[in-house]
Amino acid sequence: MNFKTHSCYREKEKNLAVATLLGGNSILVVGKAGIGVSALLKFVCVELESKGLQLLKIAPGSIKQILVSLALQLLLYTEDDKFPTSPKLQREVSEKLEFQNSVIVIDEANRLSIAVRSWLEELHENGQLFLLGAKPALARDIFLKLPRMELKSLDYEFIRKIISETAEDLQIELTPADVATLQERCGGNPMLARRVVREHQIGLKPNALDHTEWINGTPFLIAALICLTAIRFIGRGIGDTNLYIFGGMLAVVASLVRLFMFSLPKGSGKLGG
Amino acid sequence: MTAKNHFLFSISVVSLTLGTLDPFVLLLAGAMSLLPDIDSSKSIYGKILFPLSRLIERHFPHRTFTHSFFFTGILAIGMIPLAFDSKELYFSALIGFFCGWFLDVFTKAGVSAFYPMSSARLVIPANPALRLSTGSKNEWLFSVIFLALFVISFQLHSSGGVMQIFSSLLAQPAGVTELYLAHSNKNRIYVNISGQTSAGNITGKYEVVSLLSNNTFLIRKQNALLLVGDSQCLHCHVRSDSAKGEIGEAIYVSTQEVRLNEQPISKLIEHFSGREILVSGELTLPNEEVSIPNSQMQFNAIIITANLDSKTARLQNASLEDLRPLVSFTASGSLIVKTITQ
Repeated sequence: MNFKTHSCYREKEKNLAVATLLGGNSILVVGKAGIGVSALLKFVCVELESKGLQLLKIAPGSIKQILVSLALQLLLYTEDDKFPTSPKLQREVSEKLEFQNSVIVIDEANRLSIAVRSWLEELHENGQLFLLGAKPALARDIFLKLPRMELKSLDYEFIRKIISETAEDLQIELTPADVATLQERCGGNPMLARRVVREHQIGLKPNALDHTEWINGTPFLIAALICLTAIRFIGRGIGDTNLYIFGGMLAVVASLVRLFMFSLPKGSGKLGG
Repeated sequence: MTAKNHFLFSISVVSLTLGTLDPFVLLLAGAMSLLPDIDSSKSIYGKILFPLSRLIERHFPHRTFTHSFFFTGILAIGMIPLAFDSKELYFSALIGFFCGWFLDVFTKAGVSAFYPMSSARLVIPANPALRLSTGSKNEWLFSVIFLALFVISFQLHSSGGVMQIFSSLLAQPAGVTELYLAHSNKNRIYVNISGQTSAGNITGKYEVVSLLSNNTFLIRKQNALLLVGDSQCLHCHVRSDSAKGEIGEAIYVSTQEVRLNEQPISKLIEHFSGREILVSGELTLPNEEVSIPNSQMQFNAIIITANLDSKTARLQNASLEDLRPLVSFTASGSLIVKTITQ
């Protein structure tokens, strides 16, 4: 959770997450890369800490690393101590957590191994509170059991503010026209909003746009062309041979366009691909 | 896409869809195609209407609100008064505007076509590497394609339109009837025909006199009218293998109704003497001997039927010459007279 943010642009979501945790429920926040899950978690943590709740922040890692991190935060051991074996440490941490009114906070929980997730699931069933942040993950085990909040794209207004803030940080001046043009490259993704300002600063022209808010219009185009082939039936209905044949030829053209469009190479999805 | 490509694409599409070469209509389409870019103060309209473009770009990213079906719908409703004045101008403006933003679908960033329902960007094709960058060298290729499209459209309309060219290629009677319907009020229509009659083959260029159905028509060969149809038409005098319509010299056509009430037909002939007319209708004649030569080898413009105390003459595309055998009669009835002047 090492990033720079100015203001929270998801007040509603933040308040909901805080209220959920204060009410004794866990929550999973999911969203696409760069959509602001980590930022939201950071703001929620600040709010929870201000309310006096103990937060146990852990980073994804092996079960041993996670157990050690928790043991240190729960003051079971110090860094100088020799840690017991994982099963023993796991038992000790579980027992300690039973008597703690704390929230385990894990960002990028989608990177947790199945072993860790199974243990966390066990803790959850024993009443442990969780604040998890994750990129889109498979609906299974703990991810399926926790109440889920999915983050949507940010409104244009907030993306505009993020672009302006980043430009201010980088000490560059952007006209409203520049901001409007940069906005079309980042969609509603705040991370990309910051990146496009940096790209603008160093004079990089956009090649591939990384946001994922696309609608492929190819089927619409082909559907429109296929609709034109209705001319054939009109021609038949009104007994116009020319129109009938012309409509038939349009059907052939629509089929050819369809064949051509669907045989175009697909995007690789890889950077520089 | 650059303004030049938006302009060329819009006028080509409007010319092809509305079937017009009217410069005012095409210019309106071209001008409207640049309007979606009013959301950028760097565009042509953005510079002209700077306060408005600045206001839009302060609230919306480029290619969102003004590049959407929603805004196009608003514009379509807002321009309805124009439709009362001229439907062609209305559709030209609307198609021009739509083409203006739709072309940006093929650019890397696409357009938020479904705004405000969704801010997702509509793109074609899905692979960004195959989409265009605004101002790139590839835009020249598109300029050439759109220019070629407009030239083709110009050529098509100069030759009677897409369907006419297609009909001409098929060389079927239905194409000739379409051409007749479209142009016969301003031009003579000729047909270059090749086919069979009961007397043998027929080839040549003849004037189309009138239509009898959507794929049969009458031609005049010397003084005889012949019914032309396709090769399957059994009751036609000419079964054509090939029939290509051709627009001829300009004419002025007027139609009037003439009512006769026990009046001599000679007066009618005298009145229209020296003019080219086609007469259709029904006349009641006295029960006297009338000699009108009828033949199965040609279309009979006048058919006489006998009643108990009178005779009825049914006229269909009869010329002044066809009326001459009736010159000595008085008649009652109503006629439609089509007068053709050069």
